[in-house]
Amino acid sequence: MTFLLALYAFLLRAYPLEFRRSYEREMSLAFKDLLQCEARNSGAAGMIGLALRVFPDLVACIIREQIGTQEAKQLAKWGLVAMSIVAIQTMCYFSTIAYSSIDVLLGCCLLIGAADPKHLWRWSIVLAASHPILRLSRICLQVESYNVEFFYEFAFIIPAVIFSYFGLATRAFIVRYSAPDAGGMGRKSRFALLCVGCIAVGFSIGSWEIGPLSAACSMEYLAIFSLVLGALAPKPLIPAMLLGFGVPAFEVLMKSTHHQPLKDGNAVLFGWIPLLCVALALAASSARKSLLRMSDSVMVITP
Amino acid sequence: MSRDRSLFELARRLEPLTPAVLHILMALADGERHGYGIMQAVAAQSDNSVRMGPGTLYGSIKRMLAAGLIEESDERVDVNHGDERRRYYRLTGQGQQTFKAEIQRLNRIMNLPAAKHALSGEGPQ
Repeated sequence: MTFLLALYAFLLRAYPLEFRRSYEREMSLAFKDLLQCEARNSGAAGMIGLALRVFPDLVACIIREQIGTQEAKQLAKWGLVAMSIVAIQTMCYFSTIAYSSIDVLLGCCLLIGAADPKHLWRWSIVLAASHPILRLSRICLQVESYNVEFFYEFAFIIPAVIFSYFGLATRAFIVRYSAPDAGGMGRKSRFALLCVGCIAVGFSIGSWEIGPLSAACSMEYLAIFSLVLGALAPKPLIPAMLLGFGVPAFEVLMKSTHHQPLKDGNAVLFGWIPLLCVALALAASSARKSLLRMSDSVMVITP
Repeated sequence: MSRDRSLFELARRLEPLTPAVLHILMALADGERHGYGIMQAVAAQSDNSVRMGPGTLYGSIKRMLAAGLIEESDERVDVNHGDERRRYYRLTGQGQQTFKAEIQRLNRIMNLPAAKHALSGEGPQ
């Protein structure tokens, strides 16, 4: 019994400090009472059975409490930036004409903006500067040959900062007009997000295909917005379909405006882009529902 | 108006209640209890089919305190359970209203024909 009590007390240290101050003593007392009751009624077997029920429950509750703390959120932001750097470097390594590391950088900046960290501009500068700095280090280590082009990559700090604040503004709009506790976004927010998504994707298709980057980079934005839509909207099917049909329609419109010939692939886009959007949105939606269900049903139930 | 709105917001946030919250409200409906007392009451009310761990219990208590469903009454010794001082919890007016609304909601479900058929063992007609 002493061992189980000590183990329980040790695990309680994993709770956030604020929670521990309020409930640590009470929880220890409750567990001690439970143990004594089981010891009286069922002996050692009862105590082991109790431990097998209570400890998994405790771990699940610790995770739930920790996820809600500021420290965890800050850690998540560091993690997001670290993952973004890895993604950019990976994309740089496998760089093709269709997908560039700059696309990933801008997409990651949108996400970081949506995470709303303190001093957002610093985070986006760090992220944008990490790519040329790492490249410079590779040049210094003679892994990569010297090329002055890496210096120009510092110029991407400016769009990176702009994109991160774009993400922040989208988040602010969603928070302002939605009721997250009710299970999703409001109608206005869904509409706003759809507009923002269409503008961003349209911007990437319309201007970048004509410009130096390729049209395929728009797919990252499309994927990101479909996922966000699915995670936030209670009924994401119709907005995702609108987004999916809107993008090729926008592309056709932009091409006809710029007097560019339509390719055979444009017709195909009307088929698989909406499918992709719907699939991603539904996947994010079901993931969100599963998480909500998990967090609501953490309870020890004996048959 | 603002009170109505806040109650509406609360109801929207809480309904339907999670199983843990409902069981705690039910345990406190008879009067104030400490944490272990709530666990005992939940087990007794459910014929030992539901046993709440301290993690679930105090996580729910924290959220219920924040939502104004319960409040701390005082800290005192329970003579039946050692000589340590224990914190007691009781329902607030809002908690009683929420509990009542949830019971009414469940009652409405129980009175649905499909629920009656399911309980009587008859198949769907």
